[in-house]
Amino acid sequence: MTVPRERRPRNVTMTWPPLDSSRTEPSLPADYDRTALYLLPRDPVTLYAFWSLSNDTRRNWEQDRLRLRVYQIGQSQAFFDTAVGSARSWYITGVNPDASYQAELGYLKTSGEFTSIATSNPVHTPRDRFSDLTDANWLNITELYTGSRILRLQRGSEELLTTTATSISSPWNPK
Amino acid sequence: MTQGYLALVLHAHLPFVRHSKHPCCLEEKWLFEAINETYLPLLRVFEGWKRDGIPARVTVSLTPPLLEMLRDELLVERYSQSLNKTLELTYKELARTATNPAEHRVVRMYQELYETNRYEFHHRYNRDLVAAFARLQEAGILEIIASAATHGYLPLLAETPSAVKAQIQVGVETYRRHLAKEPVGFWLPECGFSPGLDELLFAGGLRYVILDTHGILYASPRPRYGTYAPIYCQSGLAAFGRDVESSKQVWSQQEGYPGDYDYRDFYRDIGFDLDLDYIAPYILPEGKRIHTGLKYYRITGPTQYKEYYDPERAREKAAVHAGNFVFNREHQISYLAGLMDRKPIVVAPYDMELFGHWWFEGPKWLDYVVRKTACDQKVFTLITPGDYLKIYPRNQVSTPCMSSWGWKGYHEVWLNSTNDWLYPHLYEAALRMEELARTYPRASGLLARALNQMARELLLAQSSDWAFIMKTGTVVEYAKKRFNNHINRFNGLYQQIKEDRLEEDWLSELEATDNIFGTLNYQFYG
Repeated sequence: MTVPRERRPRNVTMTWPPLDSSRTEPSLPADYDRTALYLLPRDPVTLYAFWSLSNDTRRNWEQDRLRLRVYQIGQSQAFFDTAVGSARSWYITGVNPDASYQAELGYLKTSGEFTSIATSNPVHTPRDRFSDLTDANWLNITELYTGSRILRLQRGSEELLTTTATSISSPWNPK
Repeated sequence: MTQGYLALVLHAHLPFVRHSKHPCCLEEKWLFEAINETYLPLLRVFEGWKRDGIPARVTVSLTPPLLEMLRDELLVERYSQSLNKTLELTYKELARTATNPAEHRVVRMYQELYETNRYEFHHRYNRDLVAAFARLQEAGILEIIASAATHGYLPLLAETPSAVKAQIQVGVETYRRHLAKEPVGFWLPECGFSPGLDELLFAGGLRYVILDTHGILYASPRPRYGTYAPIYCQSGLAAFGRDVESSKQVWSQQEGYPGDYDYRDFYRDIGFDLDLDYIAPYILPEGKRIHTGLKYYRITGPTQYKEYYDPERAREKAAVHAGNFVFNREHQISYLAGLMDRKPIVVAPYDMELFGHWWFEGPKWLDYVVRKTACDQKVFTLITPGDYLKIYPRNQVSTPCMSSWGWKGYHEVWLNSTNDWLYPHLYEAALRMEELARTYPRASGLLARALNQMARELLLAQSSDWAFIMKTGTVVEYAKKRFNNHINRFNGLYQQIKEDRLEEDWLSELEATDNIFGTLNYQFYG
């Protein structure tokens, strides 16, 4: 049977979002078919982990029993576990500045053994103060910011950071 | 004999806002306002230094989306039309305000501004502002530095190195294509840095970046000169640090110059103040009020009550503030020179759009600062970071600290509950891009076009502007729509390639819509 021309399914283009669909906000895939875990350092005390699960992984594991295990690299036994349920991302707060971390996504067997299904990249959190490492031959940096100068620097930084955040990328300055 | 140096750095950026199918797009007006209020007025200031033989050196970054937009025929034509429209309104306003001398005087100032803009845009610059900047670089007034392809926030993209490499490489190629030169410096979007980026930047041929203050102060080992000399990363990339004092005098909303009561008020605009019937042709369809660029009041004080703007009084204030800035730098630099065994450099980076757009008198202030520096004192001279490295090629080796110039100083502005959902899509897209670039290392014809377009969509999705808008809560719907569109277009092309059913019509439409980086080649993702 021949389908009349005008009733044929139109060009498959239509399966893709029309360009500049101004009325509706096109939605994005909820998950991708890949098991991967990423870790990003956000600030001296916060990490952000996000992950996706492949179709196989989703079939083979009880998703809502997933756990995120975060290790501080170089410190044996230094890890903490969080039950992450069916979440796809997690903020890890209260970590140490200037320290290295890595995470694993996995599953706690009834025996208590942790089975990993994905390992993250290692990350290093930033310092939140002057480095302790100084070279004896060098002038101490703090001499450049002596007395009121150092105080002004510290007070000023905070204010600066507040003001610049609202000033950068100008066209949409929040009032 | 000069005791030290001041490096003024102006960073210009706008996201790629080109909506070929919408003739009246609010976001394109960002570009038109920036041209009218910032780029053309600053070019006039720079040209004045050249004409008068002022020994001026200023560092400027023009991001790739901005370079592309300033040379996009459609946007150039739309700017020209929008300027005509603004002038039409200005002439109506001249008539309307004829009996009110105080108000009329302000309208005449705008008449002069926009008439000068129209003349110079068409006849002096031949509708090509990029060439105007390039000539000023040749003339030794400006050192123009490169930046990331779409202002991607590099530290948060860094776990897929191909994404960062592409941001850098496309940024450098776009610089070469528009400015016909090799860049030496690189503007890190939002001053966002994390150790490791320096290696990719150095490998890309770049020699210096600018970090926020604590990026240098918290470096390890502790930098000998604080922010008053650059340090070298292990890779060999030099990192300069933002000076707190000079930044605060300009940026700070509490004590910065731009908040002075004599300066023009940004928020009071006739687009909001005048009768809808009268102003309707100059705002958005359906009577949605927007800024027209005609603003008649001075800041006056912390009240709703505003007085008319007095251009002469504001000009005098800009001169006073410039004198104060130069005076403070003299004292700062002579103090530092006494502590250091080399000449200090004070690095003062600002958003270029602050000058003229937000701070209307900014270009005049900058003009006075540079002229006073040249003529009224001998303590310091202007320099660019590139020139400083030629004078002092030996510097301490130290690893800068992860940092940005955003709120709280690290990555939180671009990674919080309003925008963290962007990253899984960006990371997956980068992996898909790598996968296809490796599967098809030498594609040609339709497939190559599709792969190149995927790279464009990925780069556009990576603009840090979307995350920033979501955090600040301004035009959030627009940012979400832009991000989702680019990711969906990317994923659509990916799926079509995987299923071997590329649709040329759709691809052509995408190429015409997201037409940034016309000469881009996807192969560097492989």
